[in-house]
Amino acid sequence: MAESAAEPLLELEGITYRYPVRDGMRFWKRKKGAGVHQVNLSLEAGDIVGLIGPNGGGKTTLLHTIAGLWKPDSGSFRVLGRDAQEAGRRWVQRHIGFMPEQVVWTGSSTPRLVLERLITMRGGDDDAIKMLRLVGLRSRADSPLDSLSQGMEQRMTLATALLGEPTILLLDEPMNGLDPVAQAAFRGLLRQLADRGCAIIVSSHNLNEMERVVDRVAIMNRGQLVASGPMADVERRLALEQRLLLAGSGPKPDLSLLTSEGVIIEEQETRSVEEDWRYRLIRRAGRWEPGDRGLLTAAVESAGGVVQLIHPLPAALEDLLGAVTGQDPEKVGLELEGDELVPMRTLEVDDDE
Amino acid sequence: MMSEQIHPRGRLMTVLTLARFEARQHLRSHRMFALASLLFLFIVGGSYGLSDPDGRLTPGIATDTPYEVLFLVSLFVLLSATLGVVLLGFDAISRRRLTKELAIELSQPISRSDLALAHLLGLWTAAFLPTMAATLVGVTMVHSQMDAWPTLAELAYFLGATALVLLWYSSIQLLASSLARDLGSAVTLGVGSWMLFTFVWLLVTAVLASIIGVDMTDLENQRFDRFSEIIDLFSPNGVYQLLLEDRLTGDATPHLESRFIWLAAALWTLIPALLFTVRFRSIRP
Repeated sequence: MAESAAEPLLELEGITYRYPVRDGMRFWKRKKGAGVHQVNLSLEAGDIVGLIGPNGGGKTTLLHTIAGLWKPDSGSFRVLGRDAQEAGRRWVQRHIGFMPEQVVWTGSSTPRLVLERLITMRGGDDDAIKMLRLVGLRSRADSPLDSLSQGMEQRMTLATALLGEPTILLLDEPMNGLDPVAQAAFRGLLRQLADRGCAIIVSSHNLNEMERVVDRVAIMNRGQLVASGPMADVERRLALEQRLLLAGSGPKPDLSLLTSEGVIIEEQETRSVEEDWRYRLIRRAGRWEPGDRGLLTAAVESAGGVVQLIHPLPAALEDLLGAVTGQDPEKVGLELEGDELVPMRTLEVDDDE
Repeated sequence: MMSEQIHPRGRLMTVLTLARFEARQHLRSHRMFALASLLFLFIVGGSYGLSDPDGRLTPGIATDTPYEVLFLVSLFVLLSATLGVVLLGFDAISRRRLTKELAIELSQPISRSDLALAHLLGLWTAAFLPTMAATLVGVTMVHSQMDAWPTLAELAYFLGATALVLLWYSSIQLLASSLARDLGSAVTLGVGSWMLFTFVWLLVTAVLASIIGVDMTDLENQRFDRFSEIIDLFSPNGVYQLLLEDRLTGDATPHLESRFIWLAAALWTLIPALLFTVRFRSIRP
């Protein structure tokens, strides 16, 4: 699939696009609204990058820009080493497969006809049935679109993105509506495609879902790419590794000593019948050391209890955004109305860091 | 952006194939059942009723030849077939935009102008095929009543003019649909444009006549006839009627010269289609 493994398949340099919006009652005038600002991103063959961020963060806008649905206001991007502007929209789109978020397939047409129509648009010779088999919709090839379930609609949309064996795949919230089995199959398919040299951007607001499939994350907030790099490194750099989950049975342990060390202790609801209590322990400064787990276990056992669970907690999206933007995690992402962009603040994390 | 060069014949074949997909989709839709019933009721029923030798129409309206009957049937075409275009096309683009199917289409490596043309031809084909079928059945009704057929040239002329008016409406509907962002505005723009030309145009003509000082109380007033024909050039329905009148004989022929009518027809063919294409090229999903 990849024409060249040596250089990035996709390189974004300072991509900026802001939606034109009506200027109040003066409907004939347009002003710059929300969008994406100065985005730099690079993908090599086999990369799976998770584009994560809150609603309105700019993920979809960025994917639409790369997919050629509109021209960026400024900045440039290279596809397979060629400048997109010079190569032309059609050449770029021939190498890109785009799966929009939550497409609703309606009407009396069929998945086979829809794919055949898109194959005609691409000028390719794909086999619609083969593609439907790949996404597990072979048996519904000639069913009316109206009869597809939400999960089937997602698979159908995925099939449209895979037409023409694209070198770059842009997937906007692809897991929405998929059951756990389909999600696992989907992750397997993504890995297969990446192994064959495809570069993939998967957007999602669900961090946990992303962690299981992506090599790197790119975090977007208010139209800006605020952090990027391997997930573990981003968490480490943002000092988000101080969260520990401790759950057990029997009497509650006395953790008051931790409070004096600056650890916040949050009691949580138990999640299983084996648990009698569950705590989230957050270190304000420093990090949990391997020896700390032994100390905690000893504290539990000395109180007569048994540890059921003790492991680091994955960072939530709001924690990441809070750490990157310096905002209160609980308030991040609530402000969506403003068209203005927040001051630029980006965290780059190198793989070897 | 520099565009990839594709052979014109290849482009044309792609557009025609896409138009066939589009037409097929419209023809298979539930709305087509409603449209087909409407067309057969109006066009076939109208042909049968208007060609009835015992029928009495308003004095001055002649139905002596099959073509004269077809000319009157054109009123039913304007009521039903153009409404059919509205039925099929009012949300042809806006629905795709809402369901995000449009984003998939626009991310394909195909010229947006070609895609717009395919949408237009597909909608037009879907509206014209049943209209043509109803017209042909209507002609056999006329024959059964009058024992005469329209000449092949008359039939071809009638179908050609009908094809044109449906093309104009297809362009207008797709343009309206591409401007609409939700179902409500799609209905308003689609049905609104149809009502403007079908029902409100008389009012527009009357208002303009009264402003200019043309007497419209006297039905024999030649000045009003001329004036209303000029105003009709700005309406697809009016141009369609003038085109058909142009083949009538005697007093029924229009006052305007044929070249003006054909020029208007050419402009109605080009301008809405061009506007739709321009709009589609810049549309954001």
